[in-house]
Amino acid sequence: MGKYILKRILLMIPVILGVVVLVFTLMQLTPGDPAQVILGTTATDAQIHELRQEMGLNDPYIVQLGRYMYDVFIRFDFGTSYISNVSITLELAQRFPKTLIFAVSGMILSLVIGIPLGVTAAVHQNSMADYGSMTLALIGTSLPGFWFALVLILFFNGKLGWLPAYGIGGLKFWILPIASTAFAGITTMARQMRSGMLEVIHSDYITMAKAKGVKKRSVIYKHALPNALIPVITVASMSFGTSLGGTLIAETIFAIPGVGVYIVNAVNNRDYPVVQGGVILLAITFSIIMLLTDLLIAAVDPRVKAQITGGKKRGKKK
Amino acid sequence: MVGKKVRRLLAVLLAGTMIVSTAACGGKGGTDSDSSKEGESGAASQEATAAKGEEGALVVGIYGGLDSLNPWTSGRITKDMVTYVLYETLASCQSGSKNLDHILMKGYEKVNDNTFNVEIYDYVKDAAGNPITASDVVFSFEQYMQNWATTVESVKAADDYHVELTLNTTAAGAFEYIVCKVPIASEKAYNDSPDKFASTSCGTLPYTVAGGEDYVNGTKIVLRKTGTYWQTDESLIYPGSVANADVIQFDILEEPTQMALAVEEGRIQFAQYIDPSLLDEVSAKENLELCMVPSSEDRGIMLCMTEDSPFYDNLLLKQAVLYAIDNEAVAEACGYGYGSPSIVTCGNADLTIGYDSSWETKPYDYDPAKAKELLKEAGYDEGELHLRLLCNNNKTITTMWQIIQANLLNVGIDAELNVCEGTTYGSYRDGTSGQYELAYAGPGNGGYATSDLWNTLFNRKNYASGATWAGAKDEKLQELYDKLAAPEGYTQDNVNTFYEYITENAYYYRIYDLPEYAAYNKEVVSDYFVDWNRFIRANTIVVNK
Amino acid sequence: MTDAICLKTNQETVKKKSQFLEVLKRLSYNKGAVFGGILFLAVLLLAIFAPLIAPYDYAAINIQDRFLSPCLSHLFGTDHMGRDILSRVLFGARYSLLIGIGSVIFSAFFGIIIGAIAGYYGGWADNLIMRICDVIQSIPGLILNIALACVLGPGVFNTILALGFEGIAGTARLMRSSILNVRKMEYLDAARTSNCSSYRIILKHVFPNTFAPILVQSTMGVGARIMLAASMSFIGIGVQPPTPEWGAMLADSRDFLMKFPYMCLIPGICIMLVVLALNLLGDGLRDALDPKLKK
Repeated sequence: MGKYILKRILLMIPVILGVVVLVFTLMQLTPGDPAQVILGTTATDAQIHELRQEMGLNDPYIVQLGRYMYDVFIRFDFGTSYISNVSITLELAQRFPKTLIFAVSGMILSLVIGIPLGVTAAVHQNSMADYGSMTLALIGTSLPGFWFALVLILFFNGKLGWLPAYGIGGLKFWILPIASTAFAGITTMARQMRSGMLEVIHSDYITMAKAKGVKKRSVIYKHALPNALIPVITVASMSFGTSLGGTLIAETIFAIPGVGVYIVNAVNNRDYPVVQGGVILLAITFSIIMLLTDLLIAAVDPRVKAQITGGKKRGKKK
Repeated sequence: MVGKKVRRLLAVLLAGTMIVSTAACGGKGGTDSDSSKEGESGAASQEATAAKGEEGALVVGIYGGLDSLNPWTSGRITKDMVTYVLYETLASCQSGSKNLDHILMKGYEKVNDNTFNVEIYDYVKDAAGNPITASDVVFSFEQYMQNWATTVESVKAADDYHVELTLNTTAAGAFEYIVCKVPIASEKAYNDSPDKFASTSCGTLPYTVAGGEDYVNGTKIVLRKTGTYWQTDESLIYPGSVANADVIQFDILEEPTQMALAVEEGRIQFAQYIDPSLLDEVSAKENLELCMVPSSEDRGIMLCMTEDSPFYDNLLLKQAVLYAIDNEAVAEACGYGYGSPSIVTCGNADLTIGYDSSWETKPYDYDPAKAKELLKEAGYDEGELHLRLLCNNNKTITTMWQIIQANLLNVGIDAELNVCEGTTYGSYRDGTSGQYELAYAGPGNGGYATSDLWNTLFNRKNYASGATWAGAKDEKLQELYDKLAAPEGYTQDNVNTFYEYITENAYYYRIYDLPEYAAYNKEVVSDYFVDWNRFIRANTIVVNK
Repeated sequence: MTDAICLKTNQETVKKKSQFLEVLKRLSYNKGAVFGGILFLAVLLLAIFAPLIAPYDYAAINIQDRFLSPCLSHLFGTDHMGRDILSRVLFGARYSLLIGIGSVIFSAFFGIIIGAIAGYYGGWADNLIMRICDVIQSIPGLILNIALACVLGPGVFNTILALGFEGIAGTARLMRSSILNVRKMEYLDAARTSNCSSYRIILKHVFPNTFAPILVQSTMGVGARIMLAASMSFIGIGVQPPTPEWGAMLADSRDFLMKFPYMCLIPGICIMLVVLALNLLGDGLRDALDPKLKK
């Protein structure tokens, strides 16, 4: 197991390198010129050329990529923003916790609410509870996030005046932003859980367990649920990844300075180092989550575990 | 059985670490773990200060686009709203006026056509007490020039309080523009600041941002008044430098609805900008007052004039296109009753120096019949001409261009609209890019036309292609421009001749005019000052006690 | 063109005709799926025949008639430029469905192939493919979409590509994990011992048994993509005016949510209905396709 974890951590390195190359290439392909953005409309071409030279933007692609890689992986320096000249590391350190609050709370809520909802629906398939929760889930998955956020603001802030509409501060400030982002996650999770659960419930070993005379509760929670949870783990961790970047809509609407807004503004301004730095940070986070997910799956699914440890055993025999 | 339990326990543990480790990732991603810890604790302590604003603070709502407090790096007008409350310039000038109001500058002397000797007061001090000398002025100019394209050729300190400024142009207004634009700060203060003025400030106005909780990037900025102002002679204090509120808090609100709601509910006392679609609603509130500021941007249409363009050497076609545009509909749709169709081809009566009422002839007013006629005369039958339109994705501008597209289709011109996000638009809008036949152009229209409006549109020296912005290489046009930009060339006659020439030749057409509106709570705010670059100076807002 | 038809034809090639009919029969017992199917078909027909049904030109601007609440001459009212919302919604169905379905087909097609290769063959192929998927997936979806949309530029087709690209990795991963689950099943050993070619085993035995999760994900995917397109419009990237794509309409009307809620509600409801229909249909298909649910 330890060897497997080490191997996975080492495998993260090429993934992160791949992310750097992909994002770097995308930014190079994007039309528009950071020097033009910095100097504004009145800049002459000579001034732009001079600034590009200074910024190293006139160098060949591979030289620029190499220089960036050297700065990030050897000198551990994300550089400074083209536009504001502020250290990207500092900026990310301030913004990342906010994005993380979104992602973590969204995941916790979707697990805590989505799973029971899905299980209940599956266990009571075709009952009122099933229809009720699934209708709710359907509505949840089909509500566009930003629209939902605006409706929430108009209702809870505009009409009722209960909650603040924007800004950061105490717990109160987080309720609307988190509600608007977590709702979709909860409903997706509930639907996925229901699908997975139904599949398991109708499998042979559950029928077997029922036939043996195991209590219904025990069948559901001891036999069916753990098996149905396996695909859900993957879904949950992937939606965590989505929400790392997906919060940018909520970040914009609720004036929360997270990483998402930072990156998207940088995309618009062609602030290459910011985009790259931000995406690398999110990618590292995501890779760690995926590693943990796979370990979690290995822990709960003996088949996968056998695959991991089995491979090792075979190796020893040779 | 035991094995199972262990496995389940392990699963729970792993799930736990998954959550915990993500929470700790703040340190993992960054390379500087100390700073990220600071960031986290900063975030935690922010819990204490509510975004509602501190007791007695004046809360001003502004749009985003402010990445740093550094006064010299580029940013949207929102940034000026904040940085010009912290830093002063050498001088300032009122909208449409030729006269400079001196701020840090005691006076200046014109050495020759493009060289100026500027003298600053010898007792200027910033918030930290650092004296401002000529070398600081030079430093500030150099910082500014790293981030902006300017007309400055060189800037040198002659002695402690004299600066020699040489420009690369003799055009009227170039000197005025630059001395009003560059914020001045002490080099020492800049080097002393922890992050190069990104989250803290030290300017000559009596306000500072302390950083930490007072500067939350993308959310709020809190400015606190510091003791005394360097200018002790009250008769010399520039009206835009008056410090009224003790604490000014800027709340950053990206969504127009959020801004309107915030001012309606009293969470902010002053909204920098209210979207035209929300103006009726805001002005209907009894406690709110609108404040009109003339738009600093001409909202115009640029016709591509390169040799490949159908407009090249085809004046009738250019006119046909302009007559086809229903300027009244555009003004109405974009302004919701607050805009007006343009009566001139460019310029603003309140802002442009040399604006003449003789221009107001309603050139190219909507006339679809005439447009069709001209189109035929220009040699195009219905449906024969295909035009590509280019604009950026600003909501108002997109609305404007959808109407233009519909108008062109109406007179039988096949029009295809390409809406790009800002930077792509920026890289396409040069006429020589070959990306459009008709494009949105929003040149600034304040002050001397040779330092803003016409300089942007028609000064061929600005573009490496050697053509104007739209790609025109008209020798007559250049000749007229050079005449205007010559020393003492900015006379009413020359201005009028130039205006008439570009109007007759349909080079550019300002379609409608839409002033910008700020809104404030009149129970709280009783007075304010609008500065030369058309923004309201938050420091001058008088708050009722 | 449509997801449902596409899936059904796949089904046809995979299973014998009688089984396809049986699936349809089982589907018809599911009220939700029937409702979803009819609803989706109705939207599809409305989209196809939009030019015949739409009472007005969807792009016709009439400033005098703007902000008309739903009335007889304009059943859904008019928008901020006086355009008939009913006509825009009808034409918008074309673009929204095209974007949603197009991008899902795009990612499903490549995702299934890549995922099947990874899952079935394992080894270095699996490793390489999964690392590439890791790279794509470790970049948050919306941010990748925005960056791609910036590279590709605006427009419906480019938006489909931008939205579809990221989904490839997701589908591939799901396909692979499903295959890992069925790989150890006895019937595959049986197939192998009876000298089936790998291609045959994947297509005839593995694929049908991994189909359900992909199907569920794809039906959800269409709706999710329509909404992602809306999110991109919200940021000002992706499909641009005057294209009456629902998401763009929604983003365009967000400032009028208070004063003229119908402007915002109508495209929102349209999105909801289509997603609802697809989800019901997908759920029904999933149940109908699942041999374990045979009774």
